[in-house]
Amino acid sequence: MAGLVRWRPWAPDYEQYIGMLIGSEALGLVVGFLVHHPMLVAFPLVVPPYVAAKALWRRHGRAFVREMREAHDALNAGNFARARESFAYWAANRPSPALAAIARHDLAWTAMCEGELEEARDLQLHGLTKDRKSLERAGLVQLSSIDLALLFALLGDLETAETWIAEAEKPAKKAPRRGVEAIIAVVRAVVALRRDRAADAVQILEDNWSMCEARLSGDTMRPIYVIRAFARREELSYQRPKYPGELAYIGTAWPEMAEFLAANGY
Amino acid sequence: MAAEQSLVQTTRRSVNALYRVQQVGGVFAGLAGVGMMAGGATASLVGIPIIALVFGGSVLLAKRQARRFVVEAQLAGDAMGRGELAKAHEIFDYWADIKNNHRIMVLACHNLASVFTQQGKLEEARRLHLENSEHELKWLRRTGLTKLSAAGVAYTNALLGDLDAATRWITIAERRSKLPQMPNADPSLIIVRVIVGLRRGQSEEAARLLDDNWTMIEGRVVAKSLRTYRLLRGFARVSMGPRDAGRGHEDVAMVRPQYPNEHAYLGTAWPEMAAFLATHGLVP
Repeated sequence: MAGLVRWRPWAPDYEQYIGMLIGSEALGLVVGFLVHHPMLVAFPLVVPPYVAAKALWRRHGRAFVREMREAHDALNAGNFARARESFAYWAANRPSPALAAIARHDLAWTAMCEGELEEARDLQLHGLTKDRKSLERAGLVQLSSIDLALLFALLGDLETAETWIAEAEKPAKKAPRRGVEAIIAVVRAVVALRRDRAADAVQILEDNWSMCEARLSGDTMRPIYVIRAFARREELSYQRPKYPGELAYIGTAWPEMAEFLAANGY
Repeated sequence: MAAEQSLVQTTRRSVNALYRVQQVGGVFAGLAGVGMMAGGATASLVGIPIIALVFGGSVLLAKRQARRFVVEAQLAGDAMGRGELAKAHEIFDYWADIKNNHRIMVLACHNLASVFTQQGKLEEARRLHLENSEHELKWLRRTGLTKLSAAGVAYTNALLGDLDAATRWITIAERRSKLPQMPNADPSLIIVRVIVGLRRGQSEEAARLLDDNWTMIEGRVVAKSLRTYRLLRGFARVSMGPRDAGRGHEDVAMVRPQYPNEHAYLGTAWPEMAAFLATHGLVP
């Protein structure tokens, strides 16, 4: 389960190098003034627009972080309408394609949590086929691929799910998102379960359990606890729904899982 | 495991090599800059490409370095999840010494302090968090770690029993609210308040604080760390008396140690917690 994309404020960016460039420009300006070097006088023309653009970008980024966090909290509490509103707004926010890609990914996740699996699949598919460059910029190709694989698995299209698992396993240009490997294991377990290979699913989950717990957030683990309990054919005594219908989406197109969820109070 | 080890070693050799390349490139760029200043237009034709090469190369190298750090940090996080704290320590200790990337360095220092905490070396953890939080504020700001780092200082103080210092650092952390901040900064502050409350005998308030914020905590904290929150909630509920002890025992049952001494660090300087862990079979 991919869960939501967390903002990675520590992710590498070019800020410090652009800072170095500005520093060297400033030095160039001073030296250029001292030695009357005509070329260096052009530097100040570059600096103010850059500084203004940077200030605007930072403001934009802070607003994005604030609103995404509120939307994530709303989604975790089952307030889908509130979450959708924010994600849809930022998904349509063209000046920042990478931020829009993150928001669209989270919008797809919200649709999935609401049980709108086809809508979620179409959103992810659109991102991966029509707007792949933005996903690459946001470092989201692997995560979106594995989310799509999960959606196909939940919808019962297991061959396509395996194709997208293979896509998610391809090395990405950017540093991989923290949870990708853990989610790949979970989707493999779901595919095995839907092929009636429960023992394989249990084994996959056992082998990757500590990685899942170390990399995925508590709310992302909730459906995984359900899947593990289903694979082991055990009662789900240690987890109760946070709100009516929570996790019902897992069983939307998976009758055996729907029965299991109903038997366990979901 | 062997594959992970080999990946780590290869990464380190490359990172060290990259650092030396950057240093040499910096010297060339400096010389080119001086040449441009002194030599006029002709020298600029040579100098500008050299500076562009060094600048572009630095960006590419930084990207590679950051990518490697992310991979290694994930391996270290996985190792912590399995209780292999020595391995996590080794990885973060290396990156905490990195000289050419302050962003990585402050993050690695923070994570190293977290490893120290898990190892029960609370004094060392506090020292490292404090050093990061007081002297690296500029880089903490750029990495979104200002609040989390202050919460780290407060957390170690609370575990060590210095509740006044913990409260002071909670206030500092609250003041550091400018975005972006790490998603787990707010939950970390809650856990510190819970520990302070519990150590002051305010179990009911501590349990309520956790209950009221549980959805937010669950959404922002990795499942492994959530176990500590659950354990503290169990401790609070059991401390509240027989009426709530049942729910407390349910919490405790869900955090049975996944490896020896998983929770032992909580009781290192907190006798009541140490007794609770021993009574409930949470330490060997």
